[in-house]
Amino acid sequence: MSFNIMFLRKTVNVRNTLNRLPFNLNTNSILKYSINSSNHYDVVIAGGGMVGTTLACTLGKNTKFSDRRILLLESGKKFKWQLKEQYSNRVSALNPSTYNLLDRVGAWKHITDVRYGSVKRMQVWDALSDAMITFNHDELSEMVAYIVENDVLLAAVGKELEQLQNVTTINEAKIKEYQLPKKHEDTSTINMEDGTTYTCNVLLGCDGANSLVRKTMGVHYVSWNYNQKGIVATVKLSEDTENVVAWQRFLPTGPVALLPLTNKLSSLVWSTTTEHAKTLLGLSEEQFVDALNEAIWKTHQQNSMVTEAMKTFNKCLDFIQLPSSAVRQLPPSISGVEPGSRAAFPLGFGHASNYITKGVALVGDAAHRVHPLAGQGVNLGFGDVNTLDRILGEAIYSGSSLGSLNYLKQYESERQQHNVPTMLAIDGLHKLYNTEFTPVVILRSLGLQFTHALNPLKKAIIQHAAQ
Amino acid sequence: MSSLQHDASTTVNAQEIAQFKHSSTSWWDKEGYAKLLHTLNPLRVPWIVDGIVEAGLVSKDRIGSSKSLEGLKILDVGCGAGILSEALAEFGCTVVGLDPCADMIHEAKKHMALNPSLTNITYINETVEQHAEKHMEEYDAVVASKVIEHVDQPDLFLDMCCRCLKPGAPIYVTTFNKTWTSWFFRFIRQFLSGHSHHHHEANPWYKFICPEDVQKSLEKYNCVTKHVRGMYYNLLTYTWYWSYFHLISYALYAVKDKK
Repeated sequence: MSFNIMFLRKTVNVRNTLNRLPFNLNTNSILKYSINSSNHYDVVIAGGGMVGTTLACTLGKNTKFSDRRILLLESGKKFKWQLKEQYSNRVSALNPSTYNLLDRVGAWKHITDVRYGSVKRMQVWDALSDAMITFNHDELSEMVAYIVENDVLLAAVGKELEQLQNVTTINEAKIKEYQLPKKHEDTSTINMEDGTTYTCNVLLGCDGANSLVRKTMGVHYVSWNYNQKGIVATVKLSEDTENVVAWQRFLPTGPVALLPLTNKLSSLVWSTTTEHAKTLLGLSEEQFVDALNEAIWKTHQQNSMVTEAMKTFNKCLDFIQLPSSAVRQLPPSISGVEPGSRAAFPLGFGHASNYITKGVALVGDAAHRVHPLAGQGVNLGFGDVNTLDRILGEAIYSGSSLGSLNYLKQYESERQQHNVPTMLAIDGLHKLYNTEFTPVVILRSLGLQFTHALNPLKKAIIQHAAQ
Repeated sequence: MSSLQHDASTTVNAQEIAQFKHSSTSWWDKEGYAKLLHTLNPLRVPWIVDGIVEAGLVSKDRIGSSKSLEGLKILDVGCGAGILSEALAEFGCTVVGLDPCADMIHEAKKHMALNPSLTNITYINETVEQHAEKHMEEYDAVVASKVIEHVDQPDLFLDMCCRCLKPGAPIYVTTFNKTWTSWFFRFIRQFLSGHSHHHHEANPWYKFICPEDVQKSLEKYNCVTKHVRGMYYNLLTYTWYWSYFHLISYALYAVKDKK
């Protein structure tokens, strides 16, 4: 008897259940806990950032979810976006897979209506040697990446989301706590600060690197600080040019990257030590531009061993007739910075060892956080969205409960198999390039040069980054 | 053609019922005795839904949506504790679950009570002969999944199932094939699992039925077999897969003639 009462407290629509049991219960104490069934949703998405909003839109458009109810809870105010002439300083590099996802949900056309930058080629080089690598498709025929302002993306997806009948969005939603399902239960409960309660069959945590959902799950989260900050700004190029190349130079303090926006503008992402970042933010516009140009152009004192090693290696490459660093395009020089566009954000690594538990899944930065040096962070999140959409659809199509571990486990394995190697590679690159220790410099330069010479290897890298 | 004046329990085997009664309480334990059935849902549920769509019973705008079977009535023969019934009910159809074992029906009702949104399932403790007498040509689909290998007189069983079908409606049968391969696998399974005797006596290999026999029986009762698909179970990943070969298990889809 008591087992049933304890259990029933947390079930939705208690009244209905009681009518079916073969014995009578004293219902007075239990009805106190009965939960309004209009506050029950099949899916609750916690967090309305880029990934959360796109997830809501994708699931909402999935025909298998047409009769289901989805709730998106976002703590910020309703996102009102206005096209400003000035570009926002927060941009993301979207890979072809993300492009396909956004196109599929009908959001890409809204982005095209506004603006975006195209990357057809990427050039990456080392400040401490002459090693260089370029990535592009043959004949520059396809895009390697798209540079889109985060706000533009959010507004585009939001526009599609508004039209969906099966998705409800609640802004300024302050969540107090989550109650995750215990062994025999099937639903999660979300208690809001204003006293409202929502229940759902599956809770999707898209609430960023400091995810409350993840903390409630209690999963092991591996994380560390890079003691670096990423400086972002919108910078003006000194010459009008066909701006379709993304540049990244590895300095001893961290990589500086220029992502193309228009023929005159690029977006800057400069990862450097926290102290250096503070200094840079404090400089006047002129001084900052000088510092930036120096970072891109100045030839650093190269260790003679490094130079010798590179020369010899290049001769070997020429001997076996593989391309050496021949075609080197010159990066642009900067003439100015858009006023008020300089800002900095801290960099760190984070990975949840489990993305799921019964009835809950983590998506995007809540599950994984990377260094921006490879432009992969948000793309991993969109990859999560794609996989989750497919797997939850399969769960519905086999009549299974949405929170069933069988399906969530598939999501977790699939995504971890993709994300973990990518994250390790990115972190590896960061550590590799964060040193001036000569043997490491030689090794990484030779490695970079070698990778550049092997087209099949480069193609494989592009393929993996494009997924 | 069998008349309706049979002794009520001719398709029911008492030993089988006793065996199921014994294991009924652990039926919903997903890692337990009925694991094979729980893991079969991802394979058979989409197959059943697709078959209903193929038979033309679902309006075009509903195909692929989550309540695509709304308004249809499905009979789950030998429903056990409702593993398949609950999954089908998610699609919005009315499901009637039939099982001659009273304990199974009890477990099914108990589990259904845990999920208040399942208002469209009815469980009846009856044999299919008893049910067919009262509900002739009432159902838009009949599913006999993993049950025909447990009945006496499979021909009579199929007759009764077909009587419940509306003309033009599909019937689904999934079961073990009667081949040397399936005999061998049973032998291995019983050898390894050790709790062989009980189950072996209740469900001997000779009761397995091959798809050709099922097809012949169904034809007698005006059902045309559209396809037979093989299924196999990966013991390492606990997953069922469709297979080209139906040496061990198969899934048969037939449609009753329209008059």
